[in-house]
Amino acid sequence: MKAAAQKKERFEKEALIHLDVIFSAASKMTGNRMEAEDLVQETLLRAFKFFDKFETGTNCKAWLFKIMTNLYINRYNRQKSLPKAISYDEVEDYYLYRRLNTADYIANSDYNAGWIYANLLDDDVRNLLQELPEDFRIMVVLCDIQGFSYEEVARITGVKMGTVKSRLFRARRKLQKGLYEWARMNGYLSKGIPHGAA
Amino acid sequence: MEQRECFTDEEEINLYLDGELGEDRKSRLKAHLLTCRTCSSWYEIAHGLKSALRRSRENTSAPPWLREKILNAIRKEEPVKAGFFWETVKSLFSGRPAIPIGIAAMLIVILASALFYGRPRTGNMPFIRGLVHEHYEYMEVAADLGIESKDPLEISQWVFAHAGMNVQLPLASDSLVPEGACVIQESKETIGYVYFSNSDRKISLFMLEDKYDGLFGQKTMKFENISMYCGHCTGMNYVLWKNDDVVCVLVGDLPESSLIGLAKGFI
Repeated sequence: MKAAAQKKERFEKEALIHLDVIFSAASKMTGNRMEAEDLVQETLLRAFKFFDKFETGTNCKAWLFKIMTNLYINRYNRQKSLPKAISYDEVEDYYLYRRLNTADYIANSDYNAGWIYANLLDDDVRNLLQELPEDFRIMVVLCDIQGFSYEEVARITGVKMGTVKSRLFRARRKLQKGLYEWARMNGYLSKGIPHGAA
Repeated sequence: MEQRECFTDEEEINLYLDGELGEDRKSRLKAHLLTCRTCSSWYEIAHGLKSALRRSRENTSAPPWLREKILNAIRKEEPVKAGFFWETVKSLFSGRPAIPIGIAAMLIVILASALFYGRPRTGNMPFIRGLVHEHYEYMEVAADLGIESKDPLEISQWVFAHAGMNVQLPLASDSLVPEGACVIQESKETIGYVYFSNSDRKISLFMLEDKYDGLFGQKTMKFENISMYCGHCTGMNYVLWKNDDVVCVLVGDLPESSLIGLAKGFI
């Protein structure tokens, strides 16, 4: 009985303190609040269940992220009923990227990146992220938003570091593409004052 | 025109952005950025995106009710369980001595085929709930049911028999896996498999789970025209699958919202 009480206390002190960060990341990963709440609940309950396996003093936040990320991966994998089809997206992306990287992007003096980023709202970021496939999105959430290193991400996701990098870089490329579209649709690329500017 | 020495190959700039570039390559890149307009523009854009992403790390609090719910769940002595599973257990074992609620429900997956229901079905698939199996409490439940054996295999056979299901389990002691079965999880001490009998469209799932080393196990498999997903969620095993003539079965001690969400994905 005493051991059980100690476990609960230890859990509250070591694990539950990360609830907000976990929740924040979950909402970025899932893109919707209800699913995030569900995911977070499962994560914490599972963590408690396996808390005896967790070594006190080690990185609890990373451990919780590992649980949450894997629960999330399980979920979206479940929804796939077909094997992954060959995607021509990659090929298309490459050419778009090269084009963007030279003429349109750089030469377009109206593409004021700083201005665009300053106007990017949290909701916009969430929407851009939702355009990414899940396994790319996870990399961006863990690396760019949460600030985990490649190695930490590799441990969290169980994916090789080389794959972490390639997915992350591709994800960034896709985000840039999405951002470019966003900027164009919101008038940031036309001459003159962008829409909504103060 | 792009120069050959340019770092528009994104890898270098990305690594630099993430602070993962060695000193030599870092100084080379920095020097290049001072002179190359293309690359420095690209760097600015990449860096801006990363910063924007980082800023979007809202430190929103989790809703208070969520914190409360979790706290309540961990403060209870019993593990979290879904009420309706326990009702199923009781109804299947009516006539037996009452089983204390305090013991986690024992779950054995029982899969019914179209034959079991006695009519063909297409399209909409209802789901039935089976019994929940939690290996840790296996032995306790067995004792309560009056089963003398300590062997999980025999216990499962007993349960199957009393549930009125004709399930083929291996009897050979040297192998836990019957012929034609698909192993879905195997470790030093545990083995989980699925046994399909396509002739009479019966499917059985038998899982022995011991202490679970990895926290996650998941596998997707195809057997003839049946797709099967096995996974673990909140410590319980569950299986979902979809096939025109096979009933979708959900087992597991999941929060109700997850259960419904999972079921919806398969109907």
